[in-house]
This record gives sequence, structure tokens and C-alpha cells, in this order.
Amino acid sequence: MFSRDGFLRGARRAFPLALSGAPFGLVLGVLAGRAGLTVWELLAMSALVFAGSSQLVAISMWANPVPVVAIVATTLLVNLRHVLMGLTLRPWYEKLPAPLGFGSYFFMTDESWALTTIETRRQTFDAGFLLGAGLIDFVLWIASTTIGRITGAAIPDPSSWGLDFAFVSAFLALLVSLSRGKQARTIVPWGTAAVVAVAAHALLPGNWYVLLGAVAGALAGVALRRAYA
Amino acid sequence: MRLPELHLGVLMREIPLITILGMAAVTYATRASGLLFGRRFPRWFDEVLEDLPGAILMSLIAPAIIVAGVKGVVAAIATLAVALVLKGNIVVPIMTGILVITVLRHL
Repeated sequence: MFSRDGFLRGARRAFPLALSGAPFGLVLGVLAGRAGLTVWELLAMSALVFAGSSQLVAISMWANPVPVVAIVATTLLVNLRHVLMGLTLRPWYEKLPAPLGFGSYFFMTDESWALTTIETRRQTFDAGFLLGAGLIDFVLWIASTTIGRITGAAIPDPSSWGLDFAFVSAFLALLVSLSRGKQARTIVPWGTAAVVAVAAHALLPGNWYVLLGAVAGALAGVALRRAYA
Repeated sequence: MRLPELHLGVLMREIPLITILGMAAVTYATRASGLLFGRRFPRWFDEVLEDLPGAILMSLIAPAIIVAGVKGVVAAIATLAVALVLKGNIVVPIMTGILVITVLRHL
């Protein structure tokens, strides 16, 4: 079933969560301006990519000339989690006409996916839910990042003193929210990532330290689980 | 036949747009492939994904803190403390980090 009611229910459910994500969008918009993205570039990125953490990572790597290969590869790694999210919702979406299923999946974010997952436990699940929830997310994401980008240009220059560190703080905050419920298990993979990234950053040119650290950390996690399986 | 539009300068100017389109393509691919392929991913794929997001963030953070030096370490600890106390909040820890590093750099 895919109906207007489900769509509206998703939109209503997602609104408070989408609104609470708006300050993050504002901050991302400000940082994008400092990193040199135009209003149109950020608007295009928010509308076409529509994935906050990966956009923040890309903006932190933004330089002149833009390291296109490193950014696209890192974006892929950051967003690979969508594959598993998409798998869990598949039973409800594979039966839909392809445009509805694949259209809805464009709007799958961490938030809209989580809300939809909870919704599927109801007796009567309406697949319109994901589109409604995701579209509200989408509208507020575009609005907040664009407003942040435009108003950020008016903030006087001294705020750029801490720009390099704004990214570190943002990533630390994201890392803490990722670690919830599994703090001890993350020491080996994340520690490996840190060591490899610092070494690669010191020894190699460009942004490759991000990919090398990320892959090393993920593989260290696999090795750890295999060792204790 | 001349192709004046295809010289390197034009291509260089479009790199931001090419980057954004590339990001959009790989991101939608990650969203669609769960629906498209179903359970045809190897088992190690799930395992690698378990720690990947955190490992990426850590790879971005660690060298930046080293570059920022002792002040960076102090600001990072302050950010971390606030983030751990205000579970799930993103914006207040960011503001804390910016404030602490700015103050430390201008002492």
C-alpha cells in the first residue's frame, strides 16, 4: 500500500526530527561558504546528494582545485551504510512500482529510515511514509543549509579563526553519537584509523590519508571481531 | 575541426560541479542498491561497514588535531566532554570547540 495518508503521516512524524536537524544545516552552510562553495554549488549539493555527514566531510576536503577523486571516493565510503538501510526496508518496497520504490529511496536518510523502520512494525504499514518523512527532511535540509550559506557570508572574518577546528568539533560530535552503546568495541578500529591517518597525513601528499585511515580502521574492526568470534 | 570548449581551462572551471555530480551519483547508488540487488552482498560487506563511518571520521579528526597542536588537543577534549554530556547534540559541541580554540589562539 502506498497512499496519501501514509505520505502525510510520514511528513508529520518527521517534522520535529527534521527541525532539530536544522541547526546542523545552518552550521554546514556557514562552513561551506568559508570553504569557498558558492550558494548555487551548495544548493546543488544539498538537493542532489542530500546526505549531511558526507556533505560535511566533502566540504572539509574542499580546496582549489577541488580534489574530485578523493571527495567522491570518500563520499561513497561515508554513504555505504545506505546499502544496509535499503536492504532492511526492501520487503515493503520491492513490490511497489519501480518509480515509487526507487523514488522513495532517494529520500532515505538516517532519520527517515529510522522512523520508517519503526513504522513498519505497525499492522498496516503504508509505504508512502518514507517519501513523506524524507521529503520533509529534504525541504528543511535545503532551507537550513542555504540560509546558513547566505547569512554566513555576513558573519565578520574573525569567525574564520576557528574554521579548521569547526570541522574537528563537528566530526567529534558525530563520532560520539555513532559510538552510543558500543564504546569499548570501537577503541581498536577507531584507534587504528587514527594512527594510520596521522602517519599517511605526514608521509603522503593530498587527502589520501582519509581513505587509508578509514579502510585500515574498518579492516581492524573485522579482524577484531573474527579473533573473538 | 576545432573544439574550443574542450580545453583544460573549461574543464578545470567545472570541477566543483563535476565533484557534486559525482557525489550525487555514488550516494544515490548506495541508496538504490539495497532495493535493486537485495541480499546479494557478500557477508564481509556488513562486517566492514560496522566500523567504517567512525573510522572515516577518526581519520579526518586525528591529523587535524595533531596539526592544531596542544591547543587543538585541549579544544578537542572540551568538545568531546560536551558531546558526551549532551548526548546526540551536534551544534553545542561544535560551538564549544570553535570557542575554546579561538580563545586559546588569542590568549
